[in-house]
Amino acid sequence: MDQKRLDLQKSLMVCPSMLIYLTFMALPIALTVYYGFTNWNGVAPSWQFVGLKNYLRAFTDKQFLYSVRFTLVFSIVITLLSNALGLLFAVLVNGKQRSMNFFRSMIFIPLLISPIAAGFVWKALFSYSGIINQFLERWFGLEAIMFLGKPDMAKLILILFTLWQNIGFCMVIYLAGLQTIPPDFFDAAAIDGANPWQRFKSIIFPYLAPSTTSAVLVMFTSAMREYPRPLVLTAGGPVGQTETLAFRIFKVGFDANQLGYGSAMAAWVLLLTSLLSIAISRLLRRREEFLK
Amino acid sequence: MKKVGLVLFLILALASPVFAAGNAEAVKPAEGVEIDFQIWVTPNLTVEYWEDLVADFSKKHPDIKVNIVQAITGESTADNFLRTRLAAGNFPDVSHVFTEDMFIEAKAFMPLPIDDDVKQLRNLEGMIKADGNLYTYDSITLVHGLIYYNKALFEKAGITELPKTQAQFDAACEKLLAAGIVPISVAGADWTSGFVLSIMAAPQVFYNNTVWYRDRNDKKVSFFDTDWRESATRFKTMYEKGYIYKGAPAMDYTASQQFFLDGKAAMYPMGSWFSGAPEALAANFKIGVIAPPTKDGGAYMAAIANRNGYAVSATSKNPEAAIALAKYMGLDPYPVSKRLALEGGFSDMKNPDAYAYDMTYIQEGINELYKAATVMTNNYNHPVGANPPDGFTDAMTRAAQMLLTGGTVDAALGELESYWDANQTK
Repeated sequence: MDQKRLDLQKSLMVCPSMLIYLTFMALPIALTVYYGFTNWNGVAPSWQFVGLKNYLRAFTDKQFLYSVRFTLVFSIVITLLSNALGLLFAVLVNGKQRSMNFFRSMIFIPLLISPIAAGFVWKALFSYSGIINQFLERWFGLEAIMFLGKPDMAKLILILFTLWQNIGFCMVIYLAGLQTIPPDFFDAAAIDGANPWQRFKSIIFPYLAPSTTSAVLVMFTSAMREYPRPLVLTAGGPVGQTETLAFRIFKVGFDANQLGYGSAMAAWVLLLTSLLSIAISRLLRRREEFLK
Repeated sequence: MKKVGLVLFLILALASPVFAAGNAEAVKPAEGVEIDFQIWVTPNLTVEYWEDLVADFSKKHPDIKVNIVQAITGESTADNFLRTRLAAGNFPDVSHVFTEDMFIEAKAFMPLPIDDDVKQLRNLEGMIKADGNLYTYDSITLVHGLIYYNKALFEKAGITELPKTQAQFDAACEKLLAAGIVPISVAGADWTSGFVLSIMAAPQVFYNNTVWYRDRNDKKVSFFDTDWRESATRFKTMYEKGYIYKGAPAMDYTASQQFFLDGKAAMYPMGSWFSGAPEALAANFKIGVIAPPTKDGGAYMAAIANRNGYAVSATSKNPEAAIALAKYMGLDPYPVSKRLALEGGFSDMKNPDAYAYDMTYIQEGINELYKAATVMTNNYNHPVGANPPDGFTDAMTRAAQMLLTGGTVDAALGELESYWDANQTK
């Protein structure tokens, strides 16, 4: 087989996956950017171009700007805590004893539950007449707490709920990373008399750099897209204080029927998330260089 | 090679029923026609309700086969479901629609014939759009502005006369508080908060100006004007004084309704559909109903008329059959009276006796108020002279939540004002 024919064959084999990528990834992104320049309501058969109006409006929309701030803080908190706790649990359950399988499963199971279904459970727990308030009232005579009715408390519950589901993912990534560390390192450290903290600081943490990059990026990008949990738990409230970016974009695009403006918001969010992800990725990959 | 052949055979064998099913669906009965009918299932309008109506229609029109298409639940309307269907090119022949204007603008609905039956609609003129066409058949008025009360708790608190004025209402709340009873259950955690703010404000704001939304579009009025300011201040004060349950900001629609039904609160502001809910009828106390209090004691109620009708797709392949179904659902005494009974509504026809139904004792109470109401206007997300901007209910929710969580009246009204300014399209 000559080289040209081989190249052609390779190109043809790439075509199906390229087609899928272009149809389901590139085209929707391009359409989002395009609709951002229009006043389309999402239903009408026609629309007008409005230039940069939608893109500029986002900078003066206080609800959108609030959602940007809230989602960024939410994403940073979720990323840091999910990874810290995921790593902690990974180290704690990284044994060969049978009981470790049980603990791993317990930590991982919340991830397997649909966020919508789990949201209803959390709502039943933390609503005003919910299980926790009933428990506090019955056993301690305490007055019911407005967990989901006060902005700060609602944010805290949302963060706890998200963490509960995400820690298992980080733990699994770090557990996989721990398997790649040569056991000789730990033997050498033991001979040198290293304590557990020194082993963690000098062996585990540096050698988990690739796992950290993956876990941090996945957590950050998924938190920036967070939608189902605030939808079920708080409906974005109270007073829109738990409205994430995805939640706000959906409301503008589909409840307020401003798909053009919603698309412009989505394009800004895509740009923001991409830039931050690239920055985080570059920063974390520096830690991996010593492994090469 | 044999393995590859076997795998291919298995794939084809597994896939064949799919193709067969597709073909079977494509083949239509030789005689008669087939149409899709989108339904909207609610706690009151159950799947069984719709199936019963379709069965009745099929008896009267044996040549028309109706396929029920159930819109996804979990949202406050079927709008997004219909939008998706429209984009996908399989819009149902007949839709039970809430926000018809958006679909009319998209030319998704066809103009409907106005025959002698349709001319029996009292509000026909109001239903005809600016282009001179009628797009939905609907003959129902639902009352929004009602306050249900627990008769036993009123009695326990020594309330012998039902409050009509705001002063009397406040006095009743004080009596309830003195008796250790929570006066009002309101859901502050979802859309219900904005809805309650609207129905409490409507008797003042929209009674004084029945085209308020149109005037707001023309910038003749503002949310900072006296009527809205007084209404918002009153809502906030009612919470601060403990008239509205202190846990309201953390309660959703279901929880607040259950709170009232459990006998933990004496009053519950809600629409007339609550009167048909089986849970209300099963309560272990008698439920009465009053109109929202007004300054002068007049019964001015918020209601919605002809806002949830049946439309026909502009691209229906069987328009005559689809129109027949839409007309049946919107105007025929059997489905209409059945729905009136389930939702506690009132007929908007010139011959309402044909639509009479066995009212529950709660609906009898609403009927008395309805007959005595001086002024009935739309409110909330329904036109008051003009439609509010799309998504206005969200702004109402935020404003009400602000008032319930310590925000200022100015901030809440500013929320409504700025939403209108930023989103007004007409």
